[in-house]
Amino acid sequence: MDNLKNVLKFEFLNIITRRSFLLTVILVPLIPAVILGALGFLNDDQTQTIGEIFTSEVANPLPIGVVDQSGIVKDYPDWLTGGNLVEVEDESTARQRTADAQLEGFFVISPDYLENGQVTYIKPEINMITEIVQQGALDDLINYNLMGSDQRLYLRYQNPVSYTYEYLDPETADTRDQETFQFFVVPYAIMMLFYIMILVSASLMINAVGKDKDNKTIEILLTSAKPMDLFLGKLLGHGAASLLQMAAWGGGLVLIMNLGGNSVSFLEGLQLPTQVIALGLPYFILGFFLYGSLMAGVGALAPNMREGSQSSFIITLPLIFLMLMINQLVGQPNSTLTAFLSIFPLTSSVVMMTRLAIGSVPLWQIALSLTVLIVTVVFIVRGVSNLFSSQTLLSGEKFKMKTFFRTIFVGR
Amino acid sequence: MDTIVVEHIAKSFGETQAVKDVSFSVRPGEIFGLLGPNGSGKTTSIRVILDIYQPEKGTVEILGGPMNEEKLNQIGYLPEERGLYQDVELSRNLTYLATLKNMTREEIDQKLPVWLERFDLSDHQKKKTKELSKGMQQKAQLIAALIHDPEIIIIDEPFTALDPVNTQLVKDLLIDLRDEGRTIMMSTHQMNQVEQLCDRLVLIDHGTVLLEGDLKEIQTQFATNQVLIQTDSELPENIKGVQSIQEEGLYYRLTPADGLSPRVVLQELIDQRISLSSFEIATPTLDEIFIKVVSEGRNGNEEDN
Repeated sequence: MDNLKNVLKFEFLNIITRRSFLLTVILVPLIPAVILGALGFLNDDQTQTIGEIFTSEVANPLPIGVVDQSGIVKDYPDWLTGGNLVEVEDESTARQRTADAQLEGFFVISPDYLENGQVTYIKPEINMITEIVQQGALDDLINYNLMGSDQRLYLRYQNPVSYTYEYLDPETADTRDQETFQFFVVPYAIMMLFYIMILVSASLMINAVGKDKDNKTIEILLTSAKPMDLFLGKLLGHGAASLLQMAAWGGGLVLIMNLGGNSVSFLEGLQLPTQVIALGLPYFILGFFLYGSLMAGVGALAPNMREGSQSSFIITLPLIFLMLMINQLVGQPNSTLTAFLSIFPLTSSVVMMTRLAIGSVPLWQIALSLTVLIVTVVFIVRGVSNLFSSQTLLSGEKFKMKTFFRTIFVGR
Repeated sequence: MDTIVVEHIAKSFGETQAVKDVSFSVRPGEIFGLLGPNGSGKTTSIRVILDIYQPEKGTVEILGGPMNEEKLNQIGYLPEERGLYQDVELSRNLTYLATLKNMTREEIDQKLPVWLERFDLSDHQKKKTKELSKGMQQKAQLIAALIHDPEIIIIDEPFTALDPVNTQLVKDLLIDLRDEGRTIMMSTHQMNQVEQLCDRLVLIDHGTVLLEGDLKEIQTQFATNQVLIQTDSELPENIKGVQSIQEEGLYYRLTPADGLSPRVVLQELIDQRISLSSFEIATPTLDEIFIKVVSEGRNGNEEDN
């Protein structure tokens, strides 16, 4: 027990003091948080979208002239144009004012506009990013005038329908607000977060075992600690470090949402569902123990880290399969396939969290999923401990998948 | 009570029989040599003693009984394949290995600086292992084997990568430890070191014991009645009672005629008024004994096959 604790402590400290770990833990949430914080600072009146913030940075502050030869643009309301579009009498005046740097450029609306929709944009330099925004502003101005300068009609045209949804059975239905895009972001983000965290943390277990072989410390360790202490110490040490990383990333995610919500309308109102917060920890821990044990088993059987990494691909296949199915899983969270994958132990820690991020999941499915996962983790940890024998760890033989699975499921 | 008693152990890996039948015992307070050619079964025997491998047959007794966790912590082991974490700084490496030997933080803080000083590694304790020379890593590995003050020390090729100064440092250390009453089992190919350090030895090949016993007795057992002499005089071509004379550098090797003892040869040399600066019975070197015993053993095996 003492040696289990010693191995755990060494592995944990060894990971968290590594420069690469510190950089990953700190920089991954810090960089987007700093960017969004800076955007929030720049957008202190909180009226701009993220697109507007970026494009306003690159756009020229000079107004753009509008030479209307069709006679349809009569009003240039400030609430719509923001003063960026100004009426100019004729093309030659517009050319002169552009040459004098009073205008960035000018639109010429053709006399036959109603027939052909023709507008010419004349300016000294063409920049496609700003062009898209500026042309959008002219589109809005023309639409407004075509509607007889009726603000109410124009705003309804811009946002014609406000749908309300009701669910036949709110208990089992996908209750996301189908109208708002950002609510789709959370399930994708949660799925990617759990996928990456479990895969990356578990893969480190190959190195945790392999480094003892590559550094030739394994023989020394075996004269001091039991193989089972080495296995569990490494598993728990890496698990603790991964939890720390997850806490940092999770905290970063919350920070980003808060900063983002304040500064960028795209992220406004975005929040982590409470069931994800409540069940995230047990699902992550169990998912890590499952894949971490299997990866440690690969590390124990492979003669070195390189061969271990190459041989681990087959273990990661269920998770890779989920990434190929990501749209189907997020799009149909209550389909039979998604429900099955949220109970199947090799995929449940990622898929169940994705379902919980989307909406409610029947309690019996959560209970069944957790039970199956716990039983599988106990079985796999015990099975992998068969691979942690002195003879296997010191053998130096080539990795054989058949031996790997036979030892886990049947024993030595 | 012998410190280590190995009785008829056998261990195989698949089709390969690494150890067929090995028995020997190591006494308290002695330096014991475990010798054998490459692939003879030395490392497997050591791993069986250390309880890393379970033997298929035979038994091992440590300090009067089977191995247990407490006894394992009384053993210091320097394996043939040196192992320290290359990307971890030296003091953390040694601290970790010491904690696994049940040492408390206070004990480590007390003893580690002393050992680092003794091996001239104090200035390097914050360096990563990979930044140290091979000789420094070898000394660090010895610290890992000795820091917990073990009763039994098992060392495999302890002089590899050491310069003459550090070789002498380690030899003096081993002698000191023996004089303190520690039991040391040493495996090495450097026969001169065995001759200088070991009290007793066992020689194994193909997983079986070829020779075991006291070093001096073994050398006597393998001694012929040849004599080595040093003289300023010109030796006559024929000396009565001497079958052959061979010049070997500063020495002459004299082989007495059948049935005659070296004493008769000495008497003849005195009678012939040959001035002698030294006269000694030619003791075979351990190298010679090793080669002879291993060759004979292998020839015997081939004949049996």
